[in-house]
Amino acid sequence: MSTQTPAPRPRSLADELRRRSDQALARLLELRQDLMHPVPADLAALAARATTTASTGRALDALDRWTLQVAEVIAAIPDATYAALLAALPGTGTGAVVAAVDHLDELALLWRDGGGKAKAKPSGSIYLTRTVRDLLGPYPCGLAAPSQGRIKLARYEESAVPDEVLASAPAEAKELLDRLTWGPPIGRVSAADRVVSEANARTPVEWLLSRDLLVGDDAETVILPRAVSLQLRQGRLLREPQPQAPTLRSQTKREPALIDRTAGQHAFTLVRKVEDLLDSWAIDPPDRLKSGGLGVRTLTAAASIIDTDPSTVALVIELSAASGLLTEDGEVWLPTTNYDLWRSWTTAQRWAHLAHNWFTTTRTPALIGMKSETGARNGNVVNALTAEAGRSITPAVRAEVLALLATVEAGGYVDEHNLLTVLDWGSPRRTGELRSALVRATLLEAETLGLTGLGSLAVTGRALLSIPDQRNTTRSRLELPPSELVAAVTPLLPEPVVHVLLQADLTAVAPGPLESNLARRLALIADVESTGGAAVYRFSDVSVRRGLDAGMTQADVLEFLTDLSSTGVPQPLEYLVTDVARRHGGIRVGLATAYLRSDDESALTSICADKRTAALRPVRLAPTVVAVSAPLDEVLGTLRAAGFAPAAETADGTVVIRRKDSRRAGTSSFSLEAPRGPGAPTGPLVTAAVRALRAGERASGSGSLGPETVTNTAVSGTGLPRSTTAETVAALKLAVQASMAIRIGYADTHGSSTERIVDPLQLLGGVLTAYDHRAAEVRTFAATRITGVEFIEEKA
Amino acid sequence: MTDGPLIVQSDKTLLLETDHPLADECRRAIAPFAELERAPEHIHTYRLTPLGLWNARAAGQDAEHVVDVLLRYSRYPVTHALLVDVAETMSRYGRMQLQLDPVHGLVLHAVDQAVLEEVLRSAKIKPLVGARIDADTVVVHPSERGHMKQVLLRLGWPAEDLAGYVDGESHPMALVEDGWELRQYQREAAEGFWHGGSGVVVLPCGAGKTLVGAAAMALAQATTLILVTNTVSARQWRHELLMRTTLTEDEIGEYSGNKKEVRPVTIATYQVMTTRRKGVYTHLELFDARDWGLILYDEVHLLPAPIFRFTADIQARRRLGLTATLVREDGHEGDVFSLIGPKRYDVPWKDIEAQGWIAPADCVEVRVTLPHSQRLAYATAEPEERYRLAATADGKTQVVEELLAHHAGEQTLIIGQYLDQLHELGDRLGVPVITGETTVRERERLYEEFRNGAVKTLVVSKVANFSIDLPEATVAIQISGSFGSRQEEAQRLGRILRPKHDGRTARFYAVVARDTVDQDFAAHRQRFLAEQGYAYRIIDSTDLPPAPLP
Repeated sequence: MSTQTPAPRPRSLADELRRRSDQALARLLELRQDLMHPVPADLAALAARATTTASTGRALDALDRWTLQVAEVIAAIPDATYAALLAALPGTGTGAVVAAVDHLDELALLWRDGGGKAKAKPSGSIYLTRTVRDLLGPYPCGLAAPSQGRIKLARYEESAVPDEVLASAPAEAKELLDRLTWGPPIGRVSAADRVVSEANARTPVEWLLSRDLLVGDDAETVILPRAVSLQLRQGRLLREPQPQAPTLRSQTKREPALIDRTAGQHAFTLVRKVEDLLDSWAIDPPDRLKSGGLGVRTLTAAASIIDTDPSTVALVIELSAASGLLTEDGEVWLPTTNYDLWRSWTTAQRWAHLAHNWFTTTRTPALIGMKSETGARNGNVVNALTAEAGRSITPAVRAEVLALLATVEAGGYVDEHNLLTVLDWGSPRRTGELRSALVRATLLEAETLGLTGLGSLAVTGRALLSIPDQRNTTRSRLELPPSELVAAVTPLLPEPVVHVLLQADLTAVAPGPLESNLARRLALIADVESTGGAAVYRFSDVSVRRGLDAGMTQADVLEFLTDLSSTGVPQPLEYLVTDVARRHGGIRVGLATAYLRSDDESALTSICADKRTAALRPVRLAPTVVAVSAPLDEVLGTLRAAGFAPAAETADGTVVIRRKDSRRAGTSSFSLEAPRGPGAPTGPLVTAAVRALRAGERASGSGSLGPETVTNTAVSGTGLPRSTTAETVAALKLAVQASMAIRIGYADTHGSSTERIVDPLQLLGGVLTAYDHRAAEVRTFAATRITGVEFIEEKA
Repeated sequence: MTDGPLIVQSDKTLLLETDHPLADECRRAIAPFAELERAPEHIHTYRLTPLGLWNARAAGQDAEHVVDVLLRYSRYPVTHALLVDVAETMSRYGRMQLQLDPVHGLVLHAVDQAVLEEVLRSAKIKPLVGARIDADTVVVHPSERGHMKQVLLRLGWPAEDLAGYVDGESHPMALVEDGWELRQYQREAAEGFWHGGSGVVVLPCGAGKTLVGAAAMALAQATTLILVTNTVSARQWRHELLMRTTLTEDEIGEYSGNKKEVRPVTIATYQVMTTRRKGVYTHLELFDARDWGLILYDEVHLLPAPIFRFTADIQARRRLGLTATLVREDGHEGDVFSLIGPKRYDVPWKDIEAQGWIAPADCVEVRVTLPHSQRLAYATAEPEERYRLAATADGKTQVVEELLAHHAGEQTLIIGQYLDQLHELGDRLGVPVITGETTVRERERLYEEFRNGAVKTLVVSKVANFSIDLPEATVAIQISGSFGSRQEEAQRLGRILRPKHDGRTARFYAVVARDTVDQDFAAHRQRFLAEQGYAYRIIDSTDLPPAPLP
């Protein structure tokens, strides 16, 4: 638990925490939220939790480059004091150093003499926790540890390496030194511990070894002594101290209005694409893979349905699912009933819903199509709508990127490289392929969504950032999206057009986004040729036939075109429609489940006329053929009952046509959200946690006892509160009314008593419901088992 | 800005609304870098292609300018990705330069070393280059100049050819502008070419490409080799040059099947150039017969493959390509770009028509319904026989007769594909027929008679598709065509587009058999006409107007 370091230390971290004010503790819990789950019993436990590798690692991951550099320097200098620290970081400014140390202190990654945030004393020592040292590695700042008495390592500590020795080094040896100077200061060689004299040194390594510029650490490792490193670095600990965050430089500036309009265009397009895809899937639902998710081929097909590239279609699909518009239904994926609700909203609302969900979902479309790195499917391609296509950090990255973009003046454009540099400074331990990929994907997706336009943040993006509640909103019931988002996008959305230009080359051009219903009808009789600001449709005999197949007549088509066109219907188009319509239906196809044939025409005539066989709905197709609409066995039965003697034929030619309906899945609690840490705690929660810690402290006495559960014997020493039952009940009532924290003695079923500190919530039917500080949860206590009550002076 | 005339589509097509007040201004701004794909009545479609962008780059425009034009005229915001792509594509041109080094001769110089490394790694480049001179430069075998450009284009790094040209053997000549003068666009075209060094001039049929050639020769002042499609066309070039320039009969040679004259100005046909004897192109040495200062390619979209190969070897000579369209049915547009040169000048048909230099045209498709017996024959025919059956349907003859009666007194061409059909028609109408079998002398006589009005009607096969100047033809009736070639339709329409002395509208009839592949092919060809802005009408053969038009 409390951290012990080899050197004699004035205090432990736990001691230091005890000295902190409530405010400072609350700050610590806010900064390191993982410490609160669950709330530790007391400050000793808190100290123990704070110094676990996992928690410390998380805290280090969140540090910016400068703070991390300061931490490394503290780790690199023995017996660090402020004075030593400032001396080791010349030219970086006292303020920056103090701020960094204060921050590390705040995070309980170090503590110092004088404690708290007291003004820095030059002589005050600074102690990093052992875990931080461990995590920073054996060679902080790329320096070997001090010699600690080892003669060879210490050789140049007193007197520097003579210049002529360095000057006489062979080129390869110099190169080797250069490589090791800024760390890591070790190299692997065989027989590192060989003994060589200056005279018989043959290789560069031997040359260095013989002059103690390299020292064999063990049989396989050579190490560059700290003193030599420092001399080669001219005493600097950091090659490049970076106290300042790199700035985002706006490379080009565009008219903000242009950016907003571009964003609006994209926003509109995205909503259209979601609708187009889900409408199409409602009729032809894509299969769900056995392993879950959506196959690569389905994805490609979807991309061609909505005429877009694979990455956009992945976004559209994942976003639909994350927004509760698409779900799995048995073997297929289907739009939900919520989709209909969503469709009833305005375009702005529909977009806002999607954008808000994008911002909060852990779904990461960029991973789709990449090789999976984890799990049983390691090495396989990640499919859409599988758990593998989610990452917990995605929402954070999105928020971080947009927030950074928001710091640039309106209309300014920052490229990806610049952005990554700044992000890397902010959390250098988190850099890596995945992060870069996520940042890149975020930029692309934000553009597709219309949060940015031409790469710069648009008003839509700013509105999204300003929404206070950023929790994921995947629920079974759809709620109206945040109104500020709707308001931001509404004026940007392009006005739908209701007319097209029909041309003699059999094309139709809608000079803007065509009103949704018209677009759907037009797409029925013409093929979309190109999309973008406008839409170009081409008529062909195939496309017109499709319209006729769907039930439109020649008159319907021409009337629709006449209404739609602002320039009349060109004659060639009219001819095309007429031509196709003339030939359409020359061959008739119908649905029948069975047929009757007989050379006896009169027998068939009588069947058609017979009332008893009317249920079969016979249709005379030819003198010797009748089609009926009933299953074969029913036909046989009915005919036999009517006195005929039919014989069944083999089922050749029986047509089965499945009519495809537009389908919906029920709304389910289906969610692919990746597990995430608990969200940011609210103020009251943090305050309560601090109170609990304080109470825990009181409960465990001086705090030196430390163990998380206070044993029966330990408690009996301190004396449990004792009161009569009547008093107890009265006191409990009072405590509930006043919401005052109380200390109770509680007897368990085995008769042993424990002491608890609780915040009473209600007393009902002889049962006290209260927040148990130590267990950090709400529990119920039987009033009869409460041995006594004692008020704690603290105000609730 | 929100009401610009241009709409930029995500597939890199640009839609230009022609009725917009800024349409003309916008057209001029985008024409240098975007290819006009189709120009029907309301919305013209341009396309941004790498070749088009490189053409613009070769003409000195930079990406910033292109992006600016797109943003300025666009009605809707242009996607970022498209702008980035434009900039990226344009920046690829000229990263590699072919230069003439005083010491090493022809070299490939890279403005960007990384690109050179990438390019040199290609297996196709290796055999073309010699020693590496420095980090940015490598020797190119002089014979591989054209080949190098082709390969670089295929690799996506089109080279800028700065290696210059040989002057060739000097041969003074000038235009004789007596009673006529070079039209403004012709002058601009010639100067555009001369300024660019080598390249292609795109002008519609009837716009006077021959004169652009003559003007270019006057600028070059050097011996010239002119390559044309056939002998008749060669004679016309000769005729035109004698009339319009200071050149005399003795200075102009014809190099064809019959004559093999090599003179300061030599006109050769593609056919003779590509004649092989025992697998060897015996006549290709004509390219080396003189120190040509200029090589002219007429109808560059028809340039046959062997000429391409040879053109690759004569990259040090100035080359001018003349054509009505850059569209090649064989898709070799990239070879024209690398071997002849980028597009140097281009005017849309409709613009020239509006200026009165070519006649307006009215296109009509006449549909003939096949009688029942023929429909049955058609339905049961082998697929490869079907087009022939439909194209040569009997009903067409009657339609042609009606149309002739309708346009009695007008100079009419009847154009067809199938010789027996043409002969039958000629016999029935009592009209002379010109086919590939007709001797050149006979052809010229008939054309001359047609020109001076002695013959009113001619039946011609596809030999008449190219480069025959029949200015007085006002009506063309097409009874069969090859399989829906768009380029053929353009050429045939071109026959009747020469401006008429009385400014009347030319008529172009296509007679097709209803509900057959003939109709489908016609639709394909006419899509091209509609795209070029020639609205066409469809009428039924039974609806033909009975009386002559006023």
